[in-house]
Amino acid sequence: MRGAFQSSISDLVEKDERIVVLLGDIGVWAFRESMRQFPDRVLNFGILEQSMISFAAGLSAMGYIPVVHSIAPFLVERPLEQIKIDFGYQNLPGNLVSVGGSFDYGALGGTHHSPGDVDALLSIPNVQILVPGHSQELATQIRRNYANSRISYFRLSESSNHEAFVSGDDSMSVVKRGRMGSVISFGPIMGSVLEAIAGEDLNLIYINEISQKCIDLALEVVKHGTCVVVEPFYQATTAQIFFSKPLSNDVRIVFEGISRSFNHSYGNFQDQMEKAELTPAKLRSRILRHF
Amino acid sequence: MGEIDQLRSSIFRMAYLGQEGHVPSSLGILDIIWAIYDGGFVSEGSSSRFVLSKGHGCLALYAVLAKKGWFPKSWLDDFASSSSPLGGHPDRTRIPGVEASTGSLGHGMPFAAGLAYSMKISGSSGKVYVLIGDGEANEGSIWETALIANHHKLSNLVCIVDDNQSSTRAVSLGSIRDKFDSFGWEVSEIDGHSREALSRALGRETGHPHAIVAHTIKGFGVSYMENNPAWHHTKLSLDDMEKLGEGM
Repeated sequence: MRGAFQSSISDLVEKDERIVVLLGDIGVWAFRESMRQFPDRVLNFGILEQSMISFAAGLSAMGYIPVVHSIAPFLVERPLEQIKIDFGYQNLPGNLVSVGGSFDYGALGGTHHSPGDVDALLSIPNVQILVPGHSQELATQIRRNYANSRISYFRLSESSNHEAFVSGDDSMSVVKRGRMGSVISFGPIMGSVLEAIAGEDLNLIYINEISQKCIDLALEVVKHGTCVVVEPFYQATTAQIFFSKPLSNDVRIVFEGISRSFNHSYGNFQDQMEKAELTPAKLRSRILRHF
Repeated sequence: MGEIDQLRSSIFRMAYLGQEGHVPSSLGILDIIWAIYDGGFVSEGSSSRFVLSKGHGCLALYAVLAKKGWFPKSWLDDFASSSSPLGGHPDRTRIPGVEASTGSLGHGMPFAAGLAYSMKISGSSGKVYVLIGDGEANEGSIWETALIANHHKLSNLVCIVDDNQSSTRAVSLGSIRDKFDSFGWEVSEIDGHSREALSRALGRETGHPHAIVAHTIKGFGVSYMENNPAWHHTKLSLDDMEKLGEGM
């Protein structure tokens, strides 16, 4: 997915001279060619995240399109107030692209984990939260959204589904239909969910943009019965969207995600998925216990 | 009444009618902001910009912008009401001439550096003037920006430090001049209430990012308000308004 980010943005830097890329001292090798060709517009900005966000908002105020890139906790949680005020409150658009969510840097420990980035950003109005599950989805999302009027957050993962689960410009799809109930899942956890409920008579709905619109569309498919929402970030992060409107009395929503406690363990991504009980086998029991 | 006294009266009037505002902070930076706009360093239609990073001094900015015609003077009478575009901190989405919605300290300076960088890469000849406080210079983002501006050779960025000795209340800054100097900035150190010194410093072409350390007195122009922390953020009464006239 990182490769798709680098190639999509490098193409856009060539085609659209409004784009300025600020790298928080990561991805510098990948962008070396763009940095050489466009030294004014592709910069290794350094390790100073709060100023990087405010500076990017200044670029946006002058008509440039900033693309700011760092590891999720340093891009989102550290400069959250800069995102809130300098972009949000000032009504300025821009693009934030993270890597690492939630446990890609599993062995680097809790400072580099980010199960809370989506939750944090949901506190800021007008942030568009994109959770691509596949590099093709990311490329489409970048093309469609990089120049829109919002703060677009692209949450890149090292893990990726084997296939894209949406086509064209869609952000939501019904992967399979069933009669026993429904499962809704987001971004790169989808492949594991599909495997987890193999052979079960369940609706399976995929979403790669966390928005009221996508969730409304998903709830139209759910209609009634139990619906398990599987989140590759803190459990019930999306509850505020699901419950922002009255639900039908016939629908019961439950959430299965990452528990809200500090994680002091190391190990690789796979180890972290085991610990968070997000592997296909663990997800199978977590999902099916609700039906 | 001289122009500065008229502006001071506007500040008192806004603060009294709105029952809000940081009057001494606004009085302390009034001469600086007036020198920038009256001196033509920033004017309507020019490519140069002014960012008030210490947003709580906005009464001075509003008084100056209204006097220079950026918005109707009648707006001042309605300061801080629920329908007024003018509030206790400035909002760029509502006020012509306001470049940044500041209030949370340490945001305006890196934002201003982003404006200056944009001008540099687009070939604009404009400059960006940003006003920070010495208390605000406790924020790490100020020194991050000091690094960035020097690294990117933002010779079009001018940072005026309103040095009213606020930092002595908490964390002492030491020499602001030496600090900016060590970050590779050109530094001028002046009396922030001298129009002549301000004009000379604002007009300097240094080839580097330029810090102007302006020594000011909080509450300047009203004898009993000067350096008196009791007035920092207070509601003015009718009695206060009468006394202000005498204090000037």
